[in-house]
Amino acid sequence: MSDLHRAPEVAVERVGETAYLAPLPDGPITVLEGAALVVWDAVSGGGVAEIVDRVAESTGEDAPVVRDDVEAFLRTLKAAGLVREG
Amino acid sequence: MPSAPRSAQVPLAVRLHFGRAAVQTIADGLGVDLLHIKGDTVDPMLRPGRPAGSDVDVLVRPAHVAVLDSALRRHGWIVYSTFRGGSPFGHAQTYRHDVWGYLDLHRFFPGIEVDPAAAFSRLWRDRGRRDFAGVECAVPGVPAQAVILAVNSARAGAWARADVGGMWTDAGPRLRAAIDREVRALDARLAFDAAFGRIERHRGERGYHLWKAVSGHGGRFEEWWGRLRASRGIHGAIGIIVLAPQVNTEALSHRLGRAPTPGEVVGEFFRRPLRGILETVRRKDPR
Repeated sequence: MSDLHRAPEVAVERVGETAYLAPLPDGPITVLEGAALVVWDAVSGGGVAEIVDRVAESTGEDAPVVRDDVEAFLRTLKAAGLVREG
Repeated sequence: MPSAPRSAQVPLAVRLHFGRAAVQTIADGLGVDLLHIKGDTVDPMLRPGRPAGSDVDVLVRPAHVAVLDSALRRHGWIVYSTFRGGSPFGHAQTYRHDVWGYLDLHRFFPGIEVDPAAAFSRLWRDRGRRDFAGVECAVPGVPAQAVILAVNSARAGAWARADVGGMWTDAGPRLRAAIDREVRALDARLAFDAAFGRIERHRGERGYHLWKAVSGHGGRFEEWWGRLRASRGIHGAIGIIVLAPQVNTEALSHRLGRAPTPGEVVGEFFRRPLRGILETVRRKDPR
């Protein structure tokens, strides 16, 4: 995967430690909490390696420990249309 | 490992914000002018403790209604009740969306008597801005919001009128003066007074019977009679006379929770006039 960024049509509402994401104008609404939210927050441009590093920094884990899970979840976000490449 | 994205219970407030943002996104794509009204759009100074509402309400520039209606249907909004079937005023159409919930699309606001296009233009000129789910939405100015709240409460029952009474009491002199100017500019005095229990000041005026009925002082017969008396010109009067004896199948469907059978429609046809007459008789003879 090349650079990843949040899809521009996705609206976000945050309530406490939960984020609600919805591509407008058709939805659906997706709910992110916990580690999923940490990954979402780390998607702010840059490639997968940079996002893995950000997640590692946020969680206090080593990058190799979280890499596989982060990469898998990024693929899930991409398949849901919430994150885009390019 | 992060769990996969999932569907879960979404707080009503969040769903409403997304609903507003979704409708605004559609409108922006078409150049449609709309104002978000009521519920969570109301300025906090007018709604201390007021609930956020359970649906999305928008007031659309009348010339843009047809375009927005078509676009909403393309984006999964299903008509739940039509302009004709929804209320005695014929002012709003209700849609339901599987994700966003309910939307009331207003083509005018009952109680505001100036021409709907002119009323919208005035409200649009003085509009403010609110952000819902990161999408900028237009809302009426604060005095106009107060007028809409008040004339809406006139139709919404005693609890809502008490709430609006509190709003008026809490407003300072400058805001009250601004609200009063807005009432005058929008020609909303009758409905505004109905909200504050002053409907009798308007006895003999064109809308008196209708607003007396819808503000809880009349029944079905008076509502239809009021509509007839309040209608502008022969065309509107004929429309109401034709509509009046028909069964409102949308209202019947919603009451039954399913589509009515032909027999139920026929039965309702005969029961409705009877119900109106009975209500009139009961009020005249309260025993």
